[in-house]
Amino acid sequence: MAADPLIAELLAIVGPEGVLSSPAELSVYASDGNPLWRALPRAVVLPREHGEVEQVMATLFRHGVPVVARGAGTGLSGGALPVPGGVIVGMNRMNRVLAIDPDNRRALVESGVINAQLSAAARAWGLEFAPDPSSQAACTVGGNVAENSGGAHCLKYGVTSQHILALEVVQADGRALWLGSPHRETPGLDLRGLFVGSEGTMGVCTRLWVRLIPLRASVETVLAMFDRVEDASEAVSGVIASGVLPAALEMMDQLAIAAVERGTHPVGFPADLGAVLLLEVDGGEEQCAEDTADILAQLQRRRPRAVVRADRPAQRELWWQNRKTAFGSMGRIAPAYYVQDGVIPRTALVDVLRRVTRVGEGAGLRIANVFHAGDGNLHPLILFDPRTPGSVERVLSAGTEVLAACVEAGGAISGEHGIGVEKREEMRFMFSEQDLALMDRVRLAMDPTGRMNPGKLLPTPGRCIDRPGLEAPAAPGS
Amino acid sequence: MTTRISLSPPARAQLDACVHCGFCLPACPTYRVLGNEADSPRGRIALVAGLLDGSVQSDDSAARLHLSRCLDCRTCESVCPSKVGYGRIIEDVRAQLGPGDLPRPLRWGLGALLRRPRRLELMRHPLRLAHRLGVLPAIVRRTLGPDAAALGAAVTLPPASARSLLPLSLTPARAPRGQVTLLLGCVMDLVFPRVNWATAAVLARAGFAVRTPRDQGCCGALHLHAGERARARELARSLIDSLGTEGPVVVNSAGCSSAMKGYGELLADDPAYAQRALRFAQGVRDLAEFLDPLPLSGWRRLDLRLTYADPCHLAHAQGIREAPRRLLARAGLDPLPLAEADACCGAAGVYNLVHPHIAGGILERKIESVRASGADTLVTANPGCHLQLKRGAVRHGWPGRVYHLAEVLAAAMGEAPPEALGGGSWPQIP
Repeated sequence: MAADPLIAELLAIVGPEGVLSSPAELSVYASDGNPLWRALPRAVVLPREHGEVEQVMATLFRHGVPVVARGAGTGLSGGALPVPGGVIVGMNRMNRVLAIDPDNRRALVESGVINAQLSAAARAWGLEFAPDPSSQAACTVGGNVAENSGGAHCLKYGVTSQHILALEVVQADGRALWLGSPHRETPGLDLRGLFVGSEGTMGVCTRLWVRLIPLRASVETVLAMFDRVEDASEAVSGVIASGVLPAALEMMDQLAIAAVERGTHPVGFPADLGAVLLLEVDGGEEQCAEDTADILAQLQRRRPRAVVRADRPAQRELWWQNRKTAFGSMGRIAPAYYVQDGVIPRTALVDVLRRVTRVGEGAGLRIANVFHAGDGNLHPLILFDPRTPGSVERVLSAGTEVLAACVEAGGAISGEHGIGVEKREEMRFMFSEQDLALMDRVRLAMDPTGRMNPGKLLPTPGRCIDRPGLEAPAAPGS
Repeated sequence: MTTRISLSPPARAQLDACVHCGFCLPACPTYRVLGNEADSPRGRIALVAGLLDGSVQSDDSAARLHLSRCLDCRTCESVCPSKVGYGRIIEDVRAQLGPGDLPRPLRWGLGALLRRPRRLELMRHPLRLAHRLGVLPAIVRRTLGPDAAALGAAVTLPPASARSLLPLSLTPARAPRGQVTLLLGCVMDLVFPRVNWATAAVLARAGFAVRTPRDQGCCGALHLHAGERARARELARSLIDSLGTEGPVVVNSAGCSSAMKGYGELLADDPAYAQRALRFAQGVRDLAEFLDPLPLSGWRRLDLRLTYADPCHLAHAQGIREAPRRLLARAGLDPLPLAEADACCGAAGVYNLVHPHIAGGILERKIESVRASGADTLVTANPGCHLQLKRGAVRHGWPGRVYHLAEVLAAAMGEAPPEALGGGSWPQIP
């Protein structure tokens, strides 16, 4: 341990509690929220201050060591998967809300602040942070920036990028700069927009100004239960076609319902239900009432078994807890799951779902479906037992088939989980060699060393463009 | 020396249910203070998985450290979408790793004293004398360290135990509606005998005859949490013998009621006891859980602005959250809202003595939320939390008082304890 000069230097910056280098501790950081991929880092550094991040990054630059920034490790695409020989910079100790500026509806936070805790702090001023990924109780705002995360309410309020004003970024060489501005749109190239969703390939964000939105004056939440997924899908199209823009429009199918009902927040859905829709509208009281009436009319046309309106906040809260713990509750019905994140036009929902079912049948795998139905963002959860030989390969290839179906239907390979290590190759389904080469040049402009989260986001180098120096990061201890 | 670690099938099933989502991280008190995933439930599950597949050795000092830093508060179980029974995993592993970093005097205390409550009782007078002579803090500091001394300084041992004062069977004023057996506990009756007395008084007022068998010992909860599973089993067997299986057994210590409800599993492989343990466990009721559905009357008005802090082994391990609050509300003492009310206070059995630095950080956060609640009285339902919170009040200058639920309920029914159970504050009828 002490023999490694890099570790000694890191210890001098962040202290003994801030550097992990024993094999047992490193194994804890071997994966993020997607345990299909595992790799051991050379060390984990846990800074507490922006200044420490600058020093840590400068040190890693001198040693030529690859860097993977990590928040809470709830990501699902392997974006925070360690790079062999690389160092993890864990941002979760930098978790403070530094300032809330209610008049200008914005806040200055450290990037390791937990999404839900930022909203909790803002609520005292009648404000909240709009992006609400299902993992919001645990995930960090910095992680939301890296993945450009969505969430149930992004249907109306937009994904993370729309809510980020400015970012302080420590670059690969340890120098820091601000991208964007806390005040308003800035002239010149939108580097802030470029950084959001770059999955840690352009630097480490330490502090940021985020936009806050006023708490919703009036909210109506509706549950609609259907015997058949097809009816629920048609209801989704009907609601959107009616001109109402719900704040959220979520769907779960039978297998997903089976999992959440065995989980921590059961609603009490009948076991034989085909699908359930969770809809929410918000705004002024009058608008809300009008939208609710329109939605109820649309739902009734598609032969629902039952439609229920939340009659108290605790009930709404339970319905959301039920939905938001859907992925995590898969452990109740299977030893492991692998979730895909395809996007399709809403009109293709029924067809694509049929294909997903066929993919599952073909591979002999059960697939539970949870979607942000309003924006056509599918989350097929492929269930499996990793101890069955060959299961991981079958699962991954089924995942790829699902994504191919999404793209063929006119959709995309990721809605909100990012590309990470998982969907690098599937990027080719959507982008030409020319597209990918341009992205790669932009990435190298932001990080000429190629040491920031290498091997993520873009297809393996050498197959789309020659990138000397990136394929072989400096060896440990060099 | 490396030992091969394995999990019993029920614990293994819990481990397999974890899908690595990370929802447990922000709920974990040690992760919140330390910010290191190895000190989180998901991280510890990864360490256990490593021990099982051999990629982590059982003598790995880092792995042992992070596993020992777990409070076993089970807050993670309340937030886990897949309901992973984490406590089952950690207790199984600790039993195999052994009580590693327990200070020797504490180990001796757990082993010798708690097994025989009368031996613990014999310590009362020498301890009180040492306290009066002013030498107690020095003795405790030398044997158990400065944190135990600070903890001890937060309380004065009362002159007598409830065991010595309560009749063998206390009968209510009118014809009893039933009979209950009361667990006196070990720490509870040494340090807070008044809570035992108050519990018996409230049960009698609720119309129950209260049995307090004298030969009852410790329930083994502290041993179980510290990885001394064999001793815990031994204690469980003798407690079943002395309390009997006719139930209900009412318990005023959340840690004990939680452990006793688990006796069925603890003794499942003991052919002589398996059936009785199961029947015994089914009769165990925490005090709040037992009183909640009963009609209670004769309330008098107490002038307290109180708040309630959930003991982990009541809220997370037993899912009892509303019953204590409802009882307080029925006494006209609706608790003020408390931020992170169900977050651990850092007591966690003997944790505060083994990991004083971490427990101190957790405690400070707790006392600051209590201060922010505006309450003048803090109510809890477990002796470990009671001690720790009293100590926190002293250390962080919070001027309020800490009571057990039973004390507040008894006072609100107009009951007042005998002098021998210790003077000090008692909630007064204005």
